[in-house]
Amino acid sequence: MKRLLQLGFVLGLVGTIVAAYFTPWFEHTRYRSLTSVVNNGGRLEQFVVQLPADRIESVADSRTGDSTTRLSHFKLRDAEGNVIGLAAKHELTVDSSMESSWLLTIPSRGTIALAASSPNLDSIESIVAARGLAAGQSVDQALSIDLPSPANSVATTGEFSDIEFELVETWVVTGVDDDGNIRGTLRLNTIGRQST
Amino acid sequence: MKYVLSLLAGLMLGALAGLALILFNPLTLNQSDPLSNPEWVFNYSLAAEHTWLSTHDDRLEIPVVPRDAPLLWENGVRGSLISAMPLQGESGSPPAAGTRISFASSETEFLRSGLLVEDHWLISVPDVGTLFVHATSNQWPLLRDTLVRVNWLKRSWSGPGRYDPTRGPANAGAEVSGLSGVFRGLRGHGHERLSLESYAGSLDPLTGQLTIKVD
Repeated sequence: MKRLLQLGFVLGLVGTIVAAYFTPWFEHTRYRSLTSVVNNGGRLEQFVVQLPADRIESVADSRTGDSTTRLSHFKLRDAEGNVIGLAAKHELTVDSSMESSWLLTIPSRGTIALAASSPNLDSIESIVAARGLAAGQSVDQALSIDLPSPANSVATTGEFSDIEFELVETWVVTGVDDDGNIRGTLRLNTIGRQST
Repeated sequence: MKYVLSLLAGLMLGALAGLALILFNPLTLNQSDPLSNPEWVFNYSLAAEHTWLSTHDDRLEIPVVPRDAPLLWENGVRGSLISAMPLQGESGSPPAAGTRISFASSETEFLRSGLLVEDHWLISVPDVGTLFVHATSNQWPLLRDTLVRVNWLKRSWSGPGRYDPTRGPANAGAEVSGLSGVFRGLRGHGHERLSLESYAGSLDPLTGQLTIKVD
């Protein structure tokens, strides 16, 4: 009986330690990558943000005088509508140009950090307003707006490592709510090419 | 029957001894060294009044800010944390704004590494530019002292506590990349220090300091 107690002790001790090492403590749900090959090489993958459903929070930080930093946070979907990750966008003006930075994070795959610089200081809200859509209004025919300056990846992690990405923002706007927030779909079209 | 009971008693004692070893395993309690003479220092607080946004899947002991912020309940983002907060520099530095997206790493194990978290920061300094910081952090020492010790084992808080969780991904710490403005093209390393003065079931009083050193 004493031998059995000792045997059980050793088995329990070793089993617990082996489990601590080999247990997959955190496995993130992985959806298949919905990619296609583009004509001139590279891999196209579209990420989608449905607005307002996927808007987490937007912040305008104007603690430093004239300068305002806009922070936007979204849930990120694949082309089939599955929520696969999180996205953040920072916009600020530096030396009279609009600097936009994107962070696309997909827990099961990795992260892409991208940056774009544009001489056009207009926000998407002001572009939409200039197209005649004011707060509280909707349109039957959605407005499709491509932001002119694509963003390019600066850093990547996980399975995105060693891939260079270009990102084009396409806003498909169906309306603006009473608070001035856009309703519609934000399509983030990425083209990835192997780093040279 | 008594032989089975002996075996079961042995198994339970062995498992308890194994758990105790894991709890006090010095390999998972190691702290990293801070960076010497960092060029940039960003201080932040997890307190709700100092945070613009903090949301997760409602399983963390961190308040959701604002209260009506959408929870991250979907399968693809469950276990993630997204937060945004003002960052205070050292005296004379302009205030910055930060977004942090974190999720538990699939590399986590409790013999050598501890509870690893992948942290991704976007940090924007007005009129200067934006930085991206990727850190792999071992949050096990913090969680052991708070969640395990106080919440689960019902022991008293032993703090105040100071934690240096940054473990990588580089040998020198977190990897830093300049995205825009003056930071464009910059490469460097980062380190995070967490301080917890008190703990009563929530990580609300946690403060952090992120330091950046340019290569």
